[in-house]
Amino acid sequence: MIYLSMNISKIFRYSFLAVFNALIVYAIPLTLTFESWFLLSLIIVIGVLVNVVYFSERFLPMKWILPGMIFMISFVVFPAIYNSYVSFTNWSTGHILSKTQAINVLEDRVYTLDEQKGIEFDMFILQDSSLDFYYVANLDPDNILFGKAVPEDEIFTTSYAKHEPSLFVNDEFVTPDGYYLLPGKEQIANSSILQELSLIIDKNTRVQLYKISVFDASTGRLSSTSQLYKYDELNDVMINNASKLSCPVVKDNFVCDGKEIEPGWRVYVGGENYRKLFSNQRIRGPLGVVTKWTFQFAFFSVLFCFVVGLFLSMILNKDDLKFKRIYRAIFILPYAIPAFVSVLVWKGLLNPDYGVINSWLGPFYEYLILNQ
Amino acid sequence: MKRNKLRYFVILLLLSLVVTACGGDSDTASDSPEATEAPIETLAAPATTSPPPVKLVVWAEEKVATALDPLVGAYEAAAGVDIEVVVYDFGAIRTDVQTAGPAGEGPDVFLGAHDWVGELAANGVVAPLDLGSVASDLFEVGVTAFSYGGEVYGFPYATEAIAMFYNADLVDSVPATWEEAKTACDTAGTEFCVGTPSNDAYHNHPFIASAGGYVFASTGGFDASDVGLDNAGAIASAEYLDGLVKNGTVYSADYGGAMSNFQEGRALFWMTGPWARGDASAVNYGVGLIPQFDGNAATPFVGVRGAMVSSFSDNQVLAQSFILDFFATIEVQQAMYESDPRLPATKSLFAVVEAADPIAASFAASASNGIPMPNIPEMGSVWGPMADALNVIREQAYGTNEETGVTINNATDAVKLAAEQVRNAIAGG
Repeated sequence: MIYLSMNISKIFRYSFLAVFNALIVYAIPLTLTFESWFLLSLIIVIGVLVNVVYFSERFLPMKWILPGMIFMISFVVFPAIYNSYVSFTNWSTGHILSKTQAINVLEDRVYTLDEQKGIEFDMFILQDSSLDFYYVANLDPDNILFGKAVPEDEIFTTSYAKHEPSLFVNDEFVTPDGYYLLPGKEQIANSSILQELSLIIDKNTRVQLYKISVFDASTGRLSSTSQLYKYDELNDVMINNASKLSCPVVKDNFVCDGKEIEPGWRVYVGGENYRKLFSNQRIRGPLGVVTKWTFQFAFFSVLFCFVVGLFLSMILNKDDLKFKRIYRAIFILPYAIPAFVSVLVWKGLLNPDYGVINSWLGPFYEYLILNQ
Repeated sequence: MKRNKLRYFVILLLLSLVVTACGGDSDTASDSPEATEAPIETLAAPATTSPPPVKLVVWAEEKVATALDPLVGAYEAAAGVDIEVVVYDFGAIRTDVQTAGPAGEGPDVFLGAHDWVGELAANGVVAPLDLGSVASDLFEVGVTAFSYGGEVYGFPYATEAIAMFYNADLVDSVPATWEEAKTACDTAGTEFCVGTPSNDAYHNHPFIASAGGYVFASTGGFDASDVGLDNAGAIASAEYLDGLVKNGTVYSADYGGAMSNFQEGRALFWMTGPWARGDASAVNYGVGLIPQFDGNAATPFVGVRGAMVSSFSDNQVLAQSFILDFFATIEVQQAMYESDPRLPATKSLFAVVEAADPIAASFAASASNGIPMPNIPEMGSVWGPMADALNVIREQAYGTNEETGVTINNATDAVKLAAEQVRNAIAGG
């Protein structure tokens, strides 16, 4: 019989470990794909720890403590440490991204010269036998431009688009031989690729996809061949191609001509937040008030709970007190009501305009004042 | 024997589960689409790589999502995309899009309020949206509300502003001046006159901003260096408000109190927005313009709702097309209006709504005199001081505050203090 019960416990243990290990083995390649090394090391450590503790016959205390410990470290200790870390950075509005992300966001900004703004035209997307994409931009009857759609790195090396009047016969688009016209649905299916491609018209101008339409022709827009912002890694500056300025890094932003470019990024700032906490009156004032009240509340709530509680319990213990059970029932009621509810009730009672306490004490107060 | 068999069985179970996990994730982890066969000769339909169906994630609050969900089916079928409309708590959209976006978990499109734009643009999480030809059908106020730093960041679909509800059983319309409003209240004999929350800067904005006062100067964008909370117009309006409170035209209340007083006929007027139409219908109500301030039309804050594109979306062009080609169409806008009746920001739909609904027309008239809430990040420092100052005037809580040691003796002091606090917050903060 003992063997049987031992085996049942072993069954449970092994089944749990089986499921747990399956999850670990499933999770590891996922973290590798997303390159979250911290999560990966965490999973490995927890996996090894759980297996060692639960497989072996020793470590009985650890068997009880381990789950609680894991959760406590994950949800209490780690957030506390991370919060402390964040308090030493400048994480705030305008500085929530990492430097790489901020650079990517800035480099994504499209740059259009004023005279090219607002010009929209029909665009057709073709594909040839080697699966390359070609754009046809119908700017006007004299500029039906056709050429290969190229990614960013080929912008300055590819040939310019050519005017191909044969593509439009009687105002209808004619698909040339050897090419396949992408219908709306396929344009959408390939949209993440197409949005990175451009048709180069001349040294400074290119055509990009602006709207993909399901039924009609898609719409294109003109923009500059150079991005608005280009990051120069060597010198750690951002070059503004519109104004030709070079914007250096000042702590946590790029600064162009004295103006900070948003977004900025997170940096480690040491004790600056704590310095501000005590030097800035706007923060120091409320902090002082709140700290004072915290200690007052703690002190008085403990004092009154103890004093009043002791008093009531001493009375309740008297032998010759009648209706003891009724009193006991009344005293246990606040314990049964959730604190949230009692807070709301007290808030209503203490309301200056409509609250019961004010309306009952009001006449006495006025009487005293009037008779002063 | 029995012991051994059981043990082997259990170990087998354990190993098999582990092996399943191994086998399982070799399918899911390597997510890249398989390359198909070499391109076929027929050019009618070349065998392109078959990428997984494109997915667009849209975050919207409940009413908007329920309106949008049945409509996206048509677009999904026609476009071959998978559109997932996620119901999100409205306030949470603003914060979560800033954490989820950079982490790669964010939406492609999200629907929110215009005063988020400054913060989101400063943090680089919202992408500029080129409205193109659609802009001609939009009211100027909507486009301005979504502009920041010279770029437009969203497509506005609804506007709202407060106006004056009146009890139609007791009075015919909202009087043109506050003095006449007081007279109307006295004639009707109600206990209270005009109700609006005391401690809410949004509701009380007309009281400072109608006669020359302003929060931030708006020349194109909003200029954080020019705070107009204590200029001559604002001071005059604040003193006028003080007079209104003293003679009982405007009474002290919170939102719930003002609502219940109006619903139970104890108050003749209620100054609030179109979201309260359902609550106001407890009485026979009408809506009119807020009374003028010294001949100037009342200037409420206008809030604009719109659709924005996340800059961390992988499908920016598709998201843009979704908004401009689908969301901007009149059918979708109409469905949005029916689910969440605010004032449409598109001129064509607005004309339809105005003709059908005179109450909406009244709110629109009030909104046309209003200005959008400043959408710059510095606005966050304004709400607190402004609400405090207005609360002091509304509650007549003059005197010296023991905790902060500040003395406020009249309305002028209150607005001056608020302006000073705002300037300090923006400069030092």
